[in-house]
Formats: sequence, C-alpha cells, structure tokens
Amino acid sequence: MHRRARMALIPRFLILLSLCLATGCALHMDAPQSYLKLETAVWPYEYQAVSSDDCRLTARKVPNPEKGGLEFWSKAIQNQMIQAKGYTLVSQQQAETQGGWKGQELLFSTNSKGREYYYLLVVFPVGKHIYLAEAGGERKLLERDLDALRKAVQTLR
Amino acid sequence: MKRLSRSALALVWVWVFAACSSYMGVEASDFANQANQEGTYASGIVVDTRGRARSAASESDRSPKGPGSTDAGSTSISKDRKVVYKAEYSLRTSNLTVALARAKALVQEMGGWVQEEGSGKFSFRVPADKFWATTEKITDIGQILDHSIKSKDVTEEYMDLGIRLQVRKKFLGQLEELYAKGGSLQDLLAVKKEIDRVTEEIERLEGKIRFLQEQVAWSTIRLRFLVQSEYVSRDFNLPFRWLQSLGIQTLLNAR
Repeated sequence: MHRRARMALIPRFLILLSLCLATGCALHMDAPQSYLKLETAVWPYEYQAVSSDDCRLTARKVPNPEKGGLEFWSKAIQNQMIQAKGYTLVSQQQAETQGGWKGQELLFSTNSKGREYYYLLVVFPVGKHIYLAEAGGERKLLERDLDALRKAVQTLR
Repeated sequence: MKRLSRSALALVWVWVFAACSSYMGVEASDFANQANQEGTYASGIVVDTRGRARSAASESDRSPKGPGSTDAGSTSISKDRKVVYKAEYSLRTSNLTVALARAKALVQEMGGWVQEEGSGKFSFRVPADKFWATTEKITDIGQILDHSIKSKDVTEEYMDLGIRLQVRKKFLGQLEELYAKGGSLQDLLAVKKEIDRVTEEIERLEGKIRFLQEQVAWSTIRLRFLVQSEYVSRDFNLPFRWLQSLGIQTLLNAR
C-alpha cells in the first residue's frame, strides 16, 4: 500500500474511534417511556434517567480487579446495605441482560422522615468490572414503575 | 435471821467484787501478752491488694476456731487472730443467666452457700480457708469492673467476749453454790435474781461469740452485675469505597 493511501485511512480510523467512544463504550439502557434520559450523567453515575415524579434510574461501572463473583458481591452488598445503612431486604432474584450478563437483583426498603423508599439494585460482575443498575424513589412510585425498570435493566449494555 | 440475811447479802457483794477483780486481772495480763507478742491489733482494715490482705492473717489464722477459753473451767486464751473477710465485685456480663450459673457453680465448688440473689446482685458465703481461692476464680464469672476486699480483725473483741464469758460462768457457779447452801427466803430470792441476771448475760455473750465465730468461719462475697454486651467501636466497613455510595441518598441527590 502506498504511503498516500495509508494517510487517507487515518481520518476514517479517527472517526470510527470517536463513534466507539461516543456510543459503544458508555453505559446505556433503554429508559422506560415515562423516564427521561439525561444527556450528562452526574458522577458516580454514567447513565441517568428520571421520571416526572422524581424516581431515578442510573447505571455505573466500578472496578473489580480481584474478579469477585456474583455470590460474593451479592452478599457484600446486602451486608453493606443492611448492617451499615440499616436497609431492609424486600426481595431478591436473578437477573440477566439481553447481552447475556448474569446478575442479581436486590430490592431494599428504607424510611426517612416518615416516608418509605424503595431502592432497586442489580449487580452484574463482568470480568474486571461490576456493572450496577440502580433505581430508587418513594415506595408507591417505584412499585408502580418496577416492571418497566426491570425491563430497562435488561437492556443495560 | 436478820443478821444471817445481812451476812448473805454481804457475801454476794464480796463475790461480785472478787469476780470483777479477777476478770480485770486476766484481761489486763492477757492484753499485755498480746501487745508483747503481736503488737497492737487493728480492726476495720481495708485491703485492696492480695499481698497486704495476706499479711493481716495467715491461712491457718483464718480457719474457724472457737475461743479456746470459752470451755468451762479452762483458763487458757487462744491467741489466734480472728479475721472477718468480705469482698465485693462489680462484674460486667453480656448474659446474666450464664453469669449466675457460673457463680452458683463456684459456690458449690467451694462448699459455700448462697446468701442473696436478685436484681442483678448475688452474695454468697464460702469457708474462710477457701476465700482467696474463690476470689481468684471470680474472673470466670464476668469481667471485673471494680472490686474491694475488706478484712476486720475481731481478735480483741473475740477474746474480750471469751474472758467475760469465763468470768460470768465462774460467778454463776459460785452463786449456785451459795444458793444451794440455803438461807432465808429473802436471801435466796436475792441470790436467785442474781443467778437469772448472770445466766441471761452468759447467753447474750455466747450469742455474740457464736456470731463472731460464724463471721470468721464464713467469708462473704458480694457480686453486682452490669449486663452489657461488649461495645465494638467499629462499623461494618468492607474495603470497597464504592459500596459506601450505594443507597437512595446518593441516587436522589445526584443532580
């Protein structure tokens, strides 16, 4: 290949790289219809959506250099939420994304200033990272959205 | 008859005087001996270390012994020290039922008996010769927060009671002899009255001696329980910082 031809490939490569960074590498979910995805997520989240009555749906990625498994992280999160933060575990079940990530869904409840809140956390350990999908809001509102949120989590990628 | 009555009364008073002189004489000489041999007695000594407490009396001194002089007709006075031991402990336990069970087992092991139990308190008596062995095992019951051990040397009081008892018994014997000799009704009534008074006094002295003997022979240990679980000044905290950011608070505050 001539030098000129190789030089001509560089802009195409840069365009592909920026497209990958912009779409493929950021966390994404198909938000429920009643939720609005925010253009810019606030740290520590990489994905953020909000309902009109202030329920939240987020996703983030945390490092897992030790490659801890699903069982370890599921129990560690439960212990953290129950023993350190005083949450109550409402239910738990297996979860799986459309891309094949296997995870654990944990639904917690907590009270603050006389109001009961639900906090949905789905954990997916994948290689050296853990993908977390979180949703929360007042109990009645989150119960209303629970099915839609579970469907949204299945689209995490 | 009148003369006889007067002479009988005079005889009674002579006996009383003689008895008192005799008592004072024995007491004074005995205390002099004690002072020479053992120094001045101390009572109400508060002992907070084992070594100091042991110096107050040897193991053999703590063995229960009655006053040797209390036997009728005997004039010898025991010079053994008589020490009453009492210990109090404040113990912390996370389980009162278990602590009480251990305390009762200790009482049984030492051949003692439970004196009082209830409201987080437990007191018991153990043979004096088992007192120190028992205190060494208190840590098996609970964590010691505070304790005190007190000893009271009752030797002087004990010997004093013994001597007074001897004298009274001797005097009673003399009164009974006088009563047996007979005389006028008035004289006999006077002597009988005195016999009754001395008998009552003897019983009172014997009661005091028995009480002291019991106090010396059986040491008292009182336990006071503070039921409290061990305080752990550490929160649940796994070494993954992101775990701390989980929860509804972070989620709803992300704007």
